[in-house]
Amino acid sequence: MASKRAFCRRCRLPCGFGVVSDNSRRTRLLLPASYFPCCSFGVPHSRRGDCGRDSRYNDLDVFDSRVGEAELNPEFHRSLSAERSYVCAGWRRKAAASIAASVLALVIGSPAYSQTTSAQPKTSTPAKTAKPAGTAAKPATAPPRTASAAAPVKAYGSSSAPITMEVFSDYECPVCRTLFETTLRQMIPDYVASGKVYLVHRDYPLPMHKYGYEAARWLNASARVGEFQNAEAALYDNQEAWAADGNISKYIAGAMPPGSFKRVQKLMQGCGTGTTAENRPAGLVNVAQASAGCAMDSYIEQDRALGERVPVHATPTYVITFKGQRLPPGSGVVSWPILKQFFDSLLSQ
Amino acid sequence: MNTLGSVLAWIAEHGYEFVLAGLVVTLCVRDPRKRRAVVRILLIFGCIVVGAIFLAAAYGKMKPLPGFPWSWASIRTSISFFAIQVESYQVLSPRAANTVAHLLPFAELFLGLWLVSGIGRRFSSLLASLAICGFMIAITSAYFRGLKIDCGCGIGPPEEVGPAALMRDGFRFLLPALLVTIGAFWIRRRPSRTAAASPDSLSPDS
Repeated sequence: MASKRAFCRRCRLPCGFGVVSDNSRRTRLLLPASYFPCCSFGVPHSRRGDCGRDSRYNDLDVFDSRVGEAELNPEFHRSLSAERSYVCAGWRRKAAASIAASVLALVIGSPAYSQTTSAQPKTSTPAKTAKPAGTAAKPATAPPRTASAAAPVKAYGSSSAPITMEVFSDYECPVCRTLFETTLRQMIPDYVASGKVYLVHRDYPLPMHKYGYEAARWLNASARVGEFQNAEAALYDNQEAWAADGNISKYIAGAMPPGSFKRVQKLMQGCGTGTTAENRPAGLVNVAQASAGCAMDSYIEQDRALGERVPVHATPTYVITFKGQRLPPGSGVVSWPILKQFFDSLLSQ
Repeated sequence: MNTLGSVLAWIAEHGYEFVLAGLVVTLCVRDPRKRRAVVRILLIFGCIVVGAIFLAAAYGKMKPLPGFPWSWASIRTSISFFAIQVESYQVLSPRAANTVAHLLPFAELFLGLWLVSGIGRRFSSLLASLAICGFMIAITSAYFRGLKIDCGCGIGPPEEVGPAALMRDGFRFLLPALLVTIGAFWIRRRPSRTAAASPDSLSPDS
């Protein structure tokens, strides 16, 4: 039997335990187990000193049992026992590290999942929408009303429209302005005027805006005298101006007849000016307390309470109700073509 | 149909746990040949998990909105609603957002079925990984632009874009897809050494 030293086919280095081969068919059949000792089974050369030796054990065991000790390097046999403990330790380290990594991944991943699942009932709970007083008879499938009967009408169109769109917004929020200017302005003369959509405004003044809460008060007062639509358009059109100096009354006055403005001013008596959402009068925390101060605050708090049940995370947030069935809320700006397509799709049902 | 959706959503949400367990098992198998066999089996399950993620996402986008029956019209309504969510990312024009919203659910459906079929596993899993990466980039971009919008994942309850959504998508969707991709390429790059080798690879003894 001609003796030949085997080389790793990939790296061309001599094998660690010097396989002797006679190049016969019998040996060739056994080669897979013994022929690539350096590179076999994915052990890179750089790690031959580590778990790479594990492969050589396997090779050797197979080779040993099937060929015989004559074809093995006895020197390697002598080092087996010493290496085996080293290899096992390396293998255990690997396994422990992988298990630890997986447990860590599960631990990190679980809070995110629990957060999403805990949010589910919150979002799936249908928020009761307030129907403004003085509107036409609402359909039998309309959401139950929660607001007081004295709540002003802050809406466009007919409440009997198949689609109701409630928009929670802050008058000082630039994105709300964009939504109003680019989308709602196009929708009002089209789908609202034709009785397809009932557009409802909900106040959700954000603490970050200095005059947002006061603007909401002015708008509620304007709604009480039936001038909501003009006042809202005036505030959004001049948002940058009154947001800079806080002179909201100037634009409210310009949006309605003097008689109406006097009534609005009367309603605003005792409300103060420059009140932010964070620093409301008398530290309002609920509707009852709000009613004790400025009368308009109660309407704002009612809307905020509705928004918290949606829940509203940002303004503008819109809730679409189709034939009494409330759809998942959306937020941010949506263009009129996309919204119109959705409404058309709903109306075709 | 709702049961199927629930099953898909469950696999999509919990599949990553099985994939991680499979990874541990793979690393614990000492015998390389057995390890290859284990990886082969795990790849089948991994592809089903990743496929279920895409099928669940497609289902979530196409399923009728609450109160609507299953019909082609209601699917169109759901896709129109999804278009609103796509546009809310403020990355695409309204027209492009509409096109993407109409194509994406069907692309996800196709990719999910492709993954489950096991045909061309390397390419399907790579495509899935890239798709999830792209989705996570969109979420990250929306978060850093200060947008507070629903991620529109289609799986599970609505979730606002942010670190929680990123973490969830990273562990539940991207990790299994990447592991399956790596496994699929690993299997192909390392052909079985159990086949007989040719004697010409023997080097002469020097």
